[in-house]
Amino acid sequence: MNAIHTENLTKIFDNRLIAVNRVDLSIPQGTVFGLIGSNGAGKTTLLRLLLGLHRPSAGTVHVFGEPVGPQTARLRQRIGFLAQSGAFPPNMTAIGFLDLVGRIFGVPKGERKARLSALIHAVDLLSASFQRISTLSTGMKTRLGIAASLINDPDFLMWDEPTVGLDPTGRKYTLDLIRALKEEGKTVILSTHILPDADQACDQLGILNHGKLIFQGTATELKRIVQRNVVDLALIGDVDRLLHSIATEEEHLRCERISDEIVRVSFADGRNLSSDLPRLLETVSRHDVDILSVRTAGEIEDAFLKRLEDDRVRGFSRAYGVHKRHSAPKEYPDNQEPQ
Amino acid sequence: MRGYIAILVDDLSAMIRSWIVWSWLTLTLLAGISAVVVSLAYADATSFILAWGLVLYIGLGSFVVIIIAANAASGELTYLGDALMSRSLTPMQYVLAKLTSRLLTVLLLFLGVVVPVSFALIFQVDDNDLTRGGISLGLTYLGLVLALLVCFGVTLSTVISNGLLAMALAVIVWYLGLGGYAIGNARDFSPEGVLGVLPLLLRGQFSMAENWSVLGLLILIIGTLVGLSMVLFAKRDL
Repeated sequence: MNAIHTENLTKIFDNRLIAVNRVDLSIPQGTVFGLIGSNGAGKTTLLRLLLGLHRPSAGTVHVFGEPVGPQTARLRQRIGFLAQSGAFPPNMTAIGFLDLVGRIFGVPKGERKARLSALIHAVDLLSASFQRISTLSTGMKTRLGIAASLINDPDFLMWDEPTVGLDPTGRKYTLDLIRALKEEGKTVILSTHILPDADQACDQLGILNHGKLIFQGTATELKRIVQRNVVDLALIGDVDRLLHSIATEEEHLRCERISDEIVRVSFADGRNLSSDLPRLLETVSRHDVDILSVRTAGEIEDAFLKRLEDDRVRGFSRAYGVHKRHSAPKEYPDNQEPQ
Repeated sequence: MRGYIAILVDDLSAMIRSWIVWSWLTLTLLAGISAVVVSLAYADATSFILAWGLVLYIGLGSFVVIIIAANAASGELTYLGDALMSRSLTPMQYVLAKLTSRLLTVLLLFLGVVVPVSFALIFQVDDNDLTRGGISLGLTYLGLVLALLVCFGVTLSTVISNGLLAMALAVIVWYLGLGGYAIGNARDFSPEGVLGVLPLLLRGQFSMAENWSVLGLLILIIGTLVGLSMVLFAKRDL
């Protein structure tokens, strides 16, 4: 069963700004879905449509098989939402806000206190729990939002930019938490423009560009768009001799020194990385050079940018085609004037 | 229902912490005590003194009521959708909770001071000209007028995002209406004349049959405003 199903979902603000443009989206239950896109791509608006906070200008939204709207509080009972804006009642304390959210969800008092305590500890806000929210840092507000989204033990989480403002530890904790939630069978939508986060945490990705869903599939499928067989090697030793040797012996490899330690190796198109990479590593080891790390080079970013570029070119071609059709002079039979 | 109760309790707590509420309560308590003290010296004009007190309460208190009501939702619109409405809460529950909380606050502030003062006048001032029935009807009228103002203010706050603008609009519309009504009903522009029929009402000189229709009309307008606020708020993108 799908946790989310939208058909032709469209949102137009003030009859001029198309924030979400005919989005058809299906997310099966238990999936971690990464909604990626540049700033202003329409990610937040799409999430608000899925929650029933915005009314669609056209199309439909179904959550757990039921249509969503402002009055469907029963559906929102199963959803945990983290907003990107960090908008909270500024004069409330962190613990007061969590308690209010728990009361809105109807969590019984005893259970509410226990969950409050556990969540405040888990997001490391114990020392700030009686501080007014307006005095909290961006990262603390994000952690407060994460705690609020979990207080009702939801089946479905929608997190909008959950790693913004977090330090590396907080970011790692959040990504680990997403994986743990997936293991519990929860469905998660992770909206982000930090692509490595989406790559690490998500089963499926969707790219939103100017309100349009231009890609939906796995991270591997996305990376296939660029199909660049590139690896970055961090090396210590006589790197110059190694590069000279590779240049003369290995025709299908192209090496580029990125920094003193990092060498970017590109494999020729059509080569099989799984057989060529061990050969490369063997060559390196023969030249008395130690390998500090091996990693694939910026694939998801490249694939994302390639997809955006493809969409831009397609949009231009469409617009050009339309323009040509409209501007082409009409031909009329001889002696026949247009009506 | 639980969403309604959660917002109601939260908003009432905010009202209890509000310095505007406590300042107005203190001011009106002092004014009420003064009215009782003054009435001790002018027993035959008790209805006149109480009527003036009530008219001043409506005149000045309307401003306080507008501040309380017109800020109900507009003050929260910047975070309302993300922080609260994204939970298990419907627009109807939210607006009803806000209306209930602000109505309770305003009516408790009004009745909590005016009822004790009115009955202190009856029992403490010898040979006063007040009747219990007159006071009850007078306070019902004014209570409904304040309730109408609360509903009007909350309705504006659900459609206007800027709290100051909502308040300014409420002040303009309300005081123009109040001024027009006062001028239309004044017998003449003397201290007695501008009070209209209020002193007579407090003295018990009224026919209940004539008042039912006016009371009914007030209740109808209040009901319409409550419905309107819910419909308009539910149509908003949050």
